Order: sequence, then structure tokens, then C-alpha cells
Amino acid sequence: MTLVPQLIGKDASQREYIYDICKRALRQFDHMGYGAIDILLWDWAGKSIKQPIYKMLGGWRAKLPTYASTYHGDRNGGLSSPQAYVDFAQQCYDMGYRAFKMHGWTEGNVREEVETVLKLGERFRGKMTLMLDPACELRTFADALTVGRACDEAGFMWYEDPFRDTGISIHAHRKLRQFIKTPLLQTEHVRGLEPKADFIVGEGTDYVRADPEYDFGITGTMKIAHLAEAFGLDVEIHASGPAHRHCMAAIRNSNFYELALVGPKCDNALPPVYADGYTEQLKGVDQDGCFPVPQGPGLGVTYDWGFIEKYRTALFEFK
Amino acid sequence: MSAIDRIEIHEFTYETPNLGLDSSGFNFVYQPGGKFAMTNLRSWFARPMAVAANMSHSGAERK
Repeated sequence: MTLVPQLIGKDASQREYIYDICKRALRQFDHMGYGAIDILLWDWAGKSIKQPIYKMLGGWRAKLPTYASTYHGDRNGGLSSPQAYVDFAQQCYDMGYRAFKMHGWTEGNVREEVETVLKLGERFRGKMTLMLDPACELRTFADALTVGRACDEAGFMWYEDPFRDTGISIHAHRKLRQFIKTPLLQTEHVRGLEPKADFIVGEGTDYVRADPEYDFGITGTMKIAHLAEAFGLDVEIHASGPAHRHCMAAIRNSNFYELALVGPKCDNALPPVYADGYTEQLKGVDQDGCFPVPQGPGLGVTYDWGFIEKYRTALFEFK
Repeated sequence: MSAIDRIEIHEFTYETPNLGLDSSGFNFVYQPGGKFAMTNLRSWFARPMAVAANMSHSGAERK
């Protein structure tokens, strides 16, 4: 909201210029908030020339291999036990998913996390790609090391944001990499191009995270993707949305789309604002375990303005 | 030049059933009977044609 008045009068086609001035303006706010603006500018540009964004970016694929990314563990009868995670993974497998990521419990109980990891590996190793994201809930480096060794044993593809440094210590993650075999996925919580470059050079991660909403939009995400490419690494797009799909569709060095967040007994919380069938719900997967890339111009989605107006709580207008 | 001459931001709140927060107060979890209200922002960009971009998770309250 702070940035919006500054956009009036700017040339909508000058995304790099607007990125640059907004980046400076947000330097004391962890650079958060610009993503939606840049996505909007790309959507406008795509509609102007009647091309989907992923083709404007170069185009690599039109279907995205997808992992079901779970809600956190609960104590309410949903994802309430290691077996509940296994059962939900089986449900996802039966639907067509060939990749599954668990978020554990807020308590960061090492025994419970390890048991779940090992159970998932025992059942699905070789059938489904597995990932773990404790979301910084493990309290100590030792806890992170113990759970990481379980990931080694269970054959997990990656281990993400394990402990309470909140995902920002290059040194700690370089040390953790020295003790475990499972690749780390870091940089969700360091913002934008330069800090991620520092994480790569400092050997604090194996895969690189980028998010069009967090990392300066589509413009920022593609810079990060090319940064990772230059180092021979893969970039994994964080979370779900039309912009996320277009970015991944234009990136060769990326493996999975994150369908976040899903569980066995409640819907994805992303609001159903689309009038054209676009969905981020579990049922959206195809028989190959993929989600589609919208093919219309720009983001390729149509918003249900009736829905938005029905639930609107405020309208701000800038001229 | 395609000058930006108007921007609307629509804030709306939508409740997801059977969803709540865990004991930390930050993680979404299954909660039978719960109603989790999430506030979203959606921007509308006026000229030369209407487009929109979404920013979700901008705010939330437990109900």
C-alpha cells in the first residue's frame, strides 16, 4: 500500500525501472510487498500482446510436476500422528501425486518427526519423491541434525528450513550440510537476489528457494532462477498461484510445483476467486501428477469479481 | 508510454471452514468446526486495460 501512490504516472512497461526504485524504497521493510505490483505489471504486459507470461519469459513447459505440501501437524484428528501422514500420502499417491512434502508439528518433537519421516520413507521410497519442511520448528542444531539423519535414511529429496535460526544463517546450514547427505533447500527467508547469491557462495544451501510474492515478483524470481542456473543449481518455487506457475513454466532448472497447503480433511485456504476453473485444490492434479499452466494472455486467469465484491471489506483507490 | 493512471485495491475476507491455528498461533492446521478468516488484497490496474494481481495472507484473524 505504501508503494502504490508512487506508481501513478509511471510507465507500466518499465518493470525493471519500477523494480529498482521499489527495491530501494523497501530496504527497511525486508523488501516485502513489491511482488503483487510486479505480477500485476506482467499480467498487463501479457494481456497487451496477447501472450501468456511463461511464453514471454521464454517458455519451457506447460505442465508442472507437483508435490502435495501438507498443513502442519495438528492434535484434532487431521494430521495428528505419523500414521496420519502416511495415510494422507497414500491418498495423494492414489490421486496421481508422485511427490509429497510434510510440515511437522509446532512442538518440534524430534522423536515424532523422525518416526514420521521413517514411516514415509518405508512406505513410499522409490514410489514417491519425499521432502521435509519443519518450517524452523526444531529448536536446536542437534535436533536438526537428528532429523536430517532420518531424512538420509528415508531417502528424502530435500530438507528445508529445519531449525530456529529461521533459515537465515549461512554458517549453520553449511555446517549442517557437512553432517548429513540429504540436500538442503534454503533461502525462503532471505529476500531477493543478492542475499540468495551470498547463501549460494557461502555453501549454505543445495537448492535455492524463490517466491514471486516474496522475492520482487516475476522479475525478481527470474533473476534468482538465472542466478541459480549460473551456479548449476535448481531453483524451487515456493507456494502456489498463477504467477508461480508461469515462473516455473519458464525455468528449466526447477523440479516441482508446490501445492500449498493441503490436508486430508480441509481445503486449501487460498480463496476461490477464479471464474474459469483455475484451482489450487488437491483435486486439480492430473493423472501424471501435474498441474497445468494457464494458457490465456498474461496470468491467464479470470477473476470472479462478484465473489470479491461479495466479501469485500475495503476499497482503496489511487489516481 | 502506457502510464499508470489509476489503481484500485480491493480488500476482502474469506472464511475457510475446518481450519484454525495451532498452539503457536501461526501455523494453519485442521480444526473441525473452525472458521479461519483470511484477508486478501487484490489490485486493479486501469489503463490501457484492466488486469489484477493477488496478494493473499496479508492478514488473518482467528475466529
